[in-house]
Amino acid sequence: MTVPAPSRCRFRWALIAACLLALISPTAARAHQASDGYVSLVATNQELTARVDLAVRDLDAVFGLDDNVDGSVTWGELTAHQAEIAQYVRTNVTVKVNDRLIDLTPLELLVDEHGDASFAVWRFKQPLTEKVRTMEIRYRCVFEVDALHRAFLKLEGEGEVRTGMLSPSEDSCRASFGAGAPRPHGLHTFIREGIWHIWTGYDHVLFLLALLLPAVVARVEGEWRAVNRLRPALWSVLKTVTAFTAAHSLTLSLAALGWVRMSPRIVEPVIAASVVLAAINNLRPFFLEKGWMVAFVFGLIHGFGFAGALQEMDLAGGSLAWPLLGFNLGVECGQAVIVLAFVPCAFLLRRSRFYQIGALRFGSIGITLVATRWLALRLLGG
Amino acid sequence: MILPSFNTRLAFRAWPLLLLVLSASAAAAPRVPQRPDEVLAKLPSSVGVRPWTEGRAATLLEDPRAAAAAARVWIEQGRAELDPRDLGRAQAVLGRWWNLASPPAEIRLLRASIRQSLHDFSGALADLDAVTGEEPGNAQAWLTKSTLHTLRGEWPAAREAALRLAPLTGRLTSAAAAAAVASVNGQLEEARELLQAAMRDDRGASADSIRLWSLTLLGEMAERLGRDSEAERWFRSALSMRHRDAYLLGAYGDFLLSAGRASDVVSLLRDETRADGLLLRLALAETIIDPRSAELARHRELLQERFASARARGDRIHQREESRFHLHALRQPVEALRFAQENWNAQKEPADVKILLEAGMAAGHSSTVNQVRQWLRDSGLQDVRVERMLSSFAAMK
Repeated sequence: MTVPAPSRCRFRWALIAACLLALISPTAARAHQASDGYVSLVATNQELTARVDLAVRDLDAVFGLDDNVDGSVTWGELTAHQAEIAQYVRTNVTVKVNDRLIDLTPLELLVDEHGDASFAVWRFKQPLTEKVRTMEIRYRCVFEVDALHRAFLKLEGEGEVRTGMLSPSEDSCRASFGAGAPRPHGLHTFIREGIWHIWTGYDHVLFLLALLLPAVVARVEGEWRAVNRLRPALWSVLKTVTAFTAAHSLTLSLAALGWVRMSPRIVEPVIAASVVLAAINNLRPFFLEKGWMVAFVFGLIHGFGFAGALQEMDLAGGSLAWPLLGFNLGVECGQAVIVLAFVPCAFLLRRSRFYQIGALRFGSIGITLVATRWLALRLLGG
Repeated sequence: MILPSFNTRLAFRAWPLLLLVLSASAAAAPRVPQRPDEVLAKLPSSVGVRPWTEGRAATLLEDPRAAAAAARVWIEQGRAELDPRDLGRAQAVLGRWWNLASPPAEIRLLRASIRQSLHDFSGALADLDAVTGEEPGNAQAWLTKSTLHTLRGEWPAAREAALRLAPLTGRLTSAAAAAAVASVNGQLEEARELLQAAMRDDRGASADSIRLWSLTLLGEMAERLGRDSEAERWFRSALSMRHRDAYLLGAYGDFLLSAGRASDVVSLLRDETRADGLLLRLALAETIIDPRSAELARHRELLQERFASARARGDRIHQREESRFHLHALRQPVEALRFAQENWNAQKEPADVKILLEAGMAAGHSSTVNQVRQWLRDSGLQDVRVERMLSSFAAMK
């Protein structure tokens, strides 16, 4: 058998094929000597000490350190490029303390190991004239040669430590230090989380709605009658909402501060039970005007539920006061929106069959069914 | 300028791992080396493009063709070395086009490839769909698409892509692509025969890389059929091509491990500590030989550091390896099962099936075992080792 003569066409296929294969990436994991950098800034009363660790391999990619082209970089080769690398670090790492730019002129070049790789280490020192309130860093090293480079960051001041990670798309970071330091970013985040939590935590919303549904009606001779005036309706809403708010704020704070603890195995089913009770009360009333007391008692339990959500957000390292305040504010805002949307509609519709039969009766039946299912699932650990 | 605060989700999620990474950095004591000839870093033997040091950065940043060519070199090198830095370099070269909604097809194809390697499978598929829509004659795009769908267990789409590839490329390439799908989708025997015939008729006409890929596939197929001596022959002839390929080393390493030939694994992978997929296999072999050796302790620690660093970065590309590590090196089946299940959500190759089953059995989790059984029925995947494990589990019950 003869081997067919390679035609031009065949040659072209071979070329294409060679390229083709290179691009089917193996799914086996990549080496995890991924390109990491480490930056630490430590502020004391007197001075700022900084340290930047960059992998020798990364610096080689930027500067070409292997002067004798023997496939390895030596300490001698690294020091030969010391000046240009120092300039590079100075340009690509900018640090501000209390919004003032700090001059980072490298003091000394050292070597250290992370994992099994060698890193060039720069140390810096600058006197500080005042206590650190904020630190800000912008870091652009190595990104131009390696888009997957990440810098792990440690900022320390006033005995507090913050960590973070910088990437090409998020190359700067700001942190505040010291007790009572305003943390506007943090506060926003927690307010948003609080609002979000109440809006997406349907059990809290349904509990509130079940309690508010009868606010625009009164129990007369065994049935619900629409109230005539707005004032008693508003009064009833105000009592209920205030009681619920006071109670859950109390337990949220106690639990978040770690003073009182309650297992979610108890809290979650009781929250579901509270919804069932509140809804059944609208069908077969048993606590009537005492709605605000029910709101208070079960509000205590709902507060533990909020605390659980707050704890899931992981507050390691920071002071608790701001997150707690922000989260609680968020919960109240979210709740206020629901109340403000519900009350005017309910008051306008209170005489209609839609409200009295549809919303009050069937709505409560619906809430009862949903909440009973939650109760069962939570008791059975589903 | 709005700066992200520390309260970003990223910082929260990564918190415990960052601590771990940073404690490693805090414990270290920097030093001044005593001798100028002390070696700090061995550079990878293969040479990539070094646009920045060669003063070619400006051209690359303007010209998409030049950038694509440079990125391709990095990606090829990444395949040989399994070094994540190569991917980062490739992405950096594409920097100007990387974030565009629809970059030129040539660039987009490379972006798909990088995204696939970072386990952003849906991003990669979106790019590939765009490229094949624009250039239906783009063989590369169909091939990558076929492998990507296979990896995700999407057989009809994988087969369709392999079919579209066939008229666009040479016989061995199209046979290998078709066999890659069919062999894990109910036609293992036929796939093996098809590829074997194409290989026989090829007689060195195809590029080395395609021949090497085909030989590796043949080795894996023979292994799943339980023909160990045949598998050994295929793997050996692939290795004898002296064309460095980390995937081949991993596949052969797994074959040796399954065959209980731990000391052969150690001699194969002794110096492969750079790629953690390979370091993992080395450590697993060392665990079998001597669970108390100092070498193993060092490798185990290295792996743990790298997994931690990957998690701190938010990477999700290591679950398969982490699962194997937890199961076989640390003997923590419950942890292993968690990783295996997370991994299963992302990819569904034979190796993923195997680790899911192993972890499920070790953790005594019969619903996972049933899940694997169901998968074998639905996909038509044949693998004697998996089948043997399943029947031993049934016997145990």
